[in-house]
Amino acid sequence: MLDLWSLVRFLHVVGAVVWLGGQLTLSSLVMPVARDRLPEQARAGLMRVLGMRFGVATVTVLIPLQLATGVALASHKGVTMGSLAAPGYGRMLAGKLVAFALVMLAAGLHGWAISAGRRTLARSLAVSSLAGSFVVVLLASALPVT
Amino acid sequence: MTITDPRVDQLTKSGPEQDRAGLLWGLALGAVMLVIALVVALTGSGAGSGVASRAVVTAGGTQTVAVSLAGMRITPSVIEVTKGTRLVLKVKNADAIRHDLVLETGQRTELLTGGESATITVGVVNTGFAGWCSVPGHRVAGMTLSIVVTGAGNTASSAAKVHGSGLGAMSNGASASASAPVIDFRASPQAGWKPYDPALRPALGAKEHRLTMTVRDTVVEVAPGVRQTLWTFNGTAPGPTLHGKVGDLFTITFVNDASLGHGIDFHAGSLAPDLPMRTIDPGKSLTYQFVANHSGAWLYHCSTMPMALHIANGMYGAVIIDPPGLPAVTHEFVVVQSELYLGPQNGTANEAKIAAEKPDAILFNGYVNQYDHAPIRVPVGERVRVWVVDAGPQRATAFHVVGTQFDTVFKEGAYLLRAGNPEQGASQVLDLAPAQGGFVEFVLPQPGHYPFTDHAMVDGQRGAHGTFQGF
Repeated sequence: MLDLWSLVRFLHVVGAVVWLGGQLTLSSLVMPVARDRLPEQARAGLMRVLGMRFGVATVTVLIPLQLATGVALASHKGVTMGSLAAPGYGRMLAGKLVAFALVMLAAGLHGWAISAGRRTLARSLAVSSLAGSFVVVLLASALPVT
Repeated sequence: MTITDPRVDQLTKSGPEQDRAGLLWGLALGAVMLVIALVVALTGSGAGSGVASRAVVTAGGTQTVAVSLAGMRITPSVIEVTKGTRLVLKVKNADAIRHDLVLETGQRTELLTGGESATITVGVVNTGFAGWCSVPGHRVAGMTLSIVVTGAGNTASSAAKVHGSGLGAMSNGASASASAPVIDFRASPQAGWKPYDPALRPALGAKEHRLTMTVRDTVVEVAPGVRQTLWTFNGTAPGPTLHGKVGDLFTITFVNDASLGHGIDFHAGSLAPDLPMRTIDPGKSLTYQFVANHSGAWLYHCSTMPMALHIANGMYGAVIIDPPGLPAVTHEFVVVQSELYLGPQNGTANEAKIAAEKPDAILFNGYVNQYDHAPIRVPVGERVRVWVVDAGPQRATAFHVVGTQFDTVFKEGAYLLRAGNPEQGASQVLDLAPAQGGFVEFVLPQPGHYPFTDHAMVDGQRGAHGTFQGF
């Protein structure tokens, strides 16, 4: 049924799509192409700007949107702090939230590693953030429909 | 932003080995995230059910325990409390149907609808006690709670004690049969008693049948002098018999005018149970529509758990759908067999007897030996058709008419035997498992009294008995 809650769920899904799709685009499309086509310094500069913008968009728009719509959806569904510990829906959602927190931690550390010049660490964190985002989506898909 | 930033230089000076190392470490970190998330998400389902069913309360002071009522379980089902602890129970009905929590101490919540919560301030706990949901049938179905006192360093024995007392309370429930009236199988009903009319009314010509079926708590006599408060469809148990032809549309307005949640399930139709068979609260109604696509003698019954109790307490009836080409007969009857698990006089069915499968009597059309008190009169030499449905909830039937042989038997949608068959065979018993149905045909050869009975003799001798009187 198309109602207000469909819209909230829509925003939540779109937020996830933009976050996951943005990372995927940057690391698997933009990065390799920039590496092939741009001089080293121009590439590094481009990646820094893109990374900064994506980071700012994440912190100012995506995280608030995901938290607001996520909390709204959960409370609409009757999820309580206590029920997060209950097997089934609650545990699955708790696992998803843990994965989300780890992903955000990795993404934040990635920004720090870039500015600290720790290239290998930065790359590890970017890849783990991307992989972790897939874990979030996997657990979201596994949430029972009921 | 400048691209001559020395940190950028440093970044760009890395080689492909570093890229590969970064990728591998990243994937490894991602795998760790996957494992952590899966552990959080899945470990609960293994251990959780066991862990959640037993709560250990930390010692001393006031301790609050969240108690959930759902799925015919109280979670946690055992609460261990250190002696002297002040206990508060925050009770939530997390189910779609109504529940409450009653404690042996006399404390209780209101009847909670789905999503509602209530708090019971138990007070200082010094001895163990039991709790349960008081909605009929829910306690037997498993909605029980044990408060176990520890602290004397003897957890096991005190737990055993409470479990013991819980069972004691249950068997007290069973021995409530002491307060149940005793059926005198030789007694006769008082003057003015009216039998349930066994005659099958002819199917109307119309292709659509509309009927309102209202559930009410009704005091009904089930044996001479023995009355029970049954949950009836339109005032009788069995409820009204619906009769139609293959392809007919039945539109039933189901009204719950009783004191508990009820639902209805028509075996005569095929549809997704989710909405039409849902339990509705008192004061609510729903429309149940089905097309009778197949012939047969079909059961309908209450669809609310525990169904054994709801059926045993009168919520059953028959839908007769004639097979195409069925010849009309003048003498056509419906007999619905059911079990009686007597509660106290004017009370409802005894749940412990149901759980133990120990009925007090077996009934044809809702009354002990009904058609011995009011024999069904049939002219000699004319064809008689008797539709039989076994409503259960638990026992099968072996329907037999003494002194006759069935020349036609139709069971569960097929003829087992037809008159004039080349084998010149006939049948003595129509056997039906719970919820099965069919019909038999026979002709009384001469005037006399032809008993009909469940030929499972124990059941035949405790109420499943009647008489055809040939004249």
